[in-house]
Amino acid sequence: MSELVYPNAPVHTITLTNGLQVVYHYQPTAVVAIEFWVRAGAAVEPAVYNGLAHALEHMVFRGSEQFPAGAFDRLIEQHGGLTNAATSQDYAHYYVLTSLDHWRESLIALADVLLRPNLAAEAWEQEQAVIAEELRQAQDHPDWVGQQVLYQHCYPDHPYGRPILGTDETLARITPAVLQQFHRQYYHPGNMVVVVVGAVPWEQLLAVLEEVCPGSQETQATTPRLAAPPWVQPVYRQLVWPQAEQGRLWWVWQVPETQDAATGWGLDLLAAILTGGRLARLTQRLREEWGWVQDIDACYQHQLAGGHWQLTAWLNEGVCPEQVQEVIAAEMLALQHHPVSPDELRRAKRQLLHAYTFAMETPQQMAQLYGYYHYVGWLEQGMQYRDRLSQFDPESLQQLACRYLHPEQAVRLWLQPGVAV
Amino acid sequence: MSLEVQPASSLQGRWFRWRLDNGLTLVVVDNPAADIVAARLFLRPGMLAELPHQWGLNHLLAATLTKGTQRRSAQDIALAVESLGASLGTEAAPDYFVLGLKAVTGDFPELFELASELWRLPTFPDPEVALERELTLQNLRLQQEQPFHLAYDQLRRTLYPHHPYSVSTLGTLESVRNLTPEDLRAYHQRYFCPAHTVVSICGRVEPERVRAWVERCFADWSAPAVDWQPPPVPTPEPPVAPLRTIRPTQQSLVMLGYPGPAVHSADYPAMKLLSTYLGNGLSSRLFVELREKQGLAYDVSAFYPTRWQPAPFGVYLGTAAANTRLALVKLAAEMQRLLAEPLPEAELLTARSKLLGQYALGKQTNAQIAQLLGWYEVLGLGADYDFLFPQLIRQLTPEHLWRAAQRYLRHPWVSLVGPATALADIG
Repeated sequence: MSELVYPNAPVHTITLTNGLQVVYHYQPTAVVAIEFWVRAGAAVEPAVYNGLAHALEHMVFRGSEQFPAGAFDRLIEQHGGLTNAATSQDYAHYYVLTSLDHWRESLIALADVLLRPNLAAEAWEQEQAVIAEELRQAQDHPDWVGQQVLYQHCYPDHPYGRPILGTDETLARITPAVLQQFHRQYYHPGNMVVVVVGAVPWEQLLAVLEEVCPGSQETQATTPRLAAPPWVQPVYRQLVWPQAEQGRLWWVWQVPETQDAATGWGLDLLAAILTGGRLARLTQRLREEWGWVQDIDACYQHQLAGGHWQLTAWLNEGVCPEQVQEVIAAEMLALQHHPVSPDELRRAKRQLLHAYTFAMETPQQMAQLYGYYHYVGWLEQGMQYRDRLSQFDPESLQQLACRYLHPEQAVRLWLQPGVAV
Repeated sequence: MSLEVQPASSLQGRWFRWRLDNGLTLVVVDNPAADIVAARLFLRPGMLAELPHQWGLNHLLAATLTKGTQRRSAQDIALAVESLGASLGTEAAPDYFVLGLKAVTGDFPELFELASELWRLPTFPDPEVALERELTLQNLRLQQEQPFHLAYDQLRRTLYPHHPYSVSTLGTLESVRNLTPEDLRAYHQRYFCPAHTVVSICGRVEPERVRAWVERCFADWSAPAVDWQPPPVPTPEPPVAPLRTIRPTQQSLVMLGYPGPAVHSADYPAMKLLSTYLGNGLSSRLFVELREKQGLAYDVSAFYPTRWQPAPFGVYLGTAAANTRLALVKLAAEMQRLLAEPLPEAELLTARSKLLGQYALGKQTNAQIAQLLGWYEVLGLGADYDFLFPQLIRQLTPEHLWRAAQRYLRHPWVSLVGPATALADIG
């Protein structure tokens, strides 16, 4: 077992004989957070079954033999707990939040539905209808629609370019046998991480995990590494969307796979300098001075095989996208040609450091952060977050901007509100 | 000055309440769990003080309160907040106006002093009001994109004609266009006074020291308490035909709404529990029946906000346009079931544990605790309602819920949003 001091109490990590990786943080709270991260995101599903990883995430909540339909949800919620899940390109992520009195039965139940779901034909038929509704609901949201178009352009011929929800056609192809096969391949202890934060005794936790996740590591394969997305040429697309009341503008840059967490944190600092607060460069110009945008937001999204850095602006009526793009291009160039001022950098660092403190207030927040960092391989580097962030100087940010965020390399999309019919 | 010390309740540590000599209420909770202090400054009565031609005034006030004081410019204020890496935000709500702040403990006194300056000495500069007014108008248009919002909006307009609960906190296009900086200054002068202010602070703090900070910032503030009456609550009859908004969406939004009771009503806990029973979580009645068993929806839920005056109660789902009529029939049948006979005891117990457990989970962060206790003070319930509410919920029987359903859920307002073809044949 290894012990990491992170940030005010030790975080323990261990791999059990069955291959299950455990991340544990004792926290003397009345609430216990339990998370499972499975290396079974949308990116590993076969293209013909696009939407499969997300479909399986839904089907897990349809129960197992021991916890038939509805029994799992009832068990968690009747003790006042919460449970839910999410699927990304890289992983499926399940969580339970429960009181200390109920951690054991909650963990046993969650592990059981994850490892031994029913995946019955009738339940899948019902769940297909639910997912079809989820897809329809998403299609009624212009932000989602634009984001999907953007991913297609940023990741052509790569799984990251496909919608996580799938499409009507691909969802129709998925059968219980397909779900079974995907489950067998990826949902075993050797392909999972469990994170527990709360006042759970370590020995008792280990005993429960050994009991509910039997198996030995040798027979299990882990998810293969995904190929890096191909480099894309910059492109500018336009999309007229009649249901939108407001225009949206996106600028996106691919960020190639990196093992260095600090690259990501530097990109976070650049995002904060541009849009983190009223004084941030783009917010100041576009919202406060000229009133051209309702909002503008920048963020770095890390993904295992390569992520992206994205700017999104919600434009006010009558504002021409070209005038906004000129401002964006000028600010992106400025980041490359001139180091940021020491004051700006100090503010951005302080903002991120405190955001980090604010984001570690509850067991659920901690479990999610540990789980994510462990998943992407940054748990150890994450302990150095404060030190590493304070080391950034104006020159190192300038280098990052030059390397990753050249205005002429951006994939851009303008979603234009249409004339109502 | 009066001091009350409460015995330990479900909240970690203890909370303290003082009334300053000028009438300001202060609630402090010592919660050493994290090196963070959160505060909420509340002002009653929020939108309830707005006349129809002023709807949205509190929102515009919220958007511009941080944009200039007698001592600082918008830029100075942003610099002070962002240099600390703190968060400071304002929000208008139906029953209150709130300024929220959060900082690491060492920065808190400086940030709180700034907050008190914003509270007492804002100037509402003309250009900032003009900018935020335009952005609000744009935001109102953006709301039209969301089917839920459209359905909820047409529902509350008919449930609360001429009453502030009939519109979103943003106001309406017509009312917002006419708001001026003078309106904001006049409103601030009239309503911002110690007697209407509740300050709620939670974090790793010594309550006596916090009181000293707050007194330093507010003890010399004197402004007369305003004479104010809540607006009359309309009692309209349900419309004979469904309310409809035609949109070319993939899904229809199907909603049933009812005029529910106010938080001060004896029926409030029962209606809260009914709302949980129907629409909260994966084991809720509507989720299981309409989503899991019938696959009619992805999003299906219930709402019943906590309000000073009678609040709307509602259930809704988003469904494929072709299923609009079916979903409406099924949703209505679920509501009829509540009227037919009392719920089985076991179903009530599950809903009760869920509500109580989630209520406790909603008090994990300092910001959540400061919000809840301050809100109870501003609603006139007192911070000890945090202790009372779970007791009231525990006392409920199936008969209580049945009677409450009989009283409030007999006649639904039907609100539909979707494509013309889906809504045409529903009468």
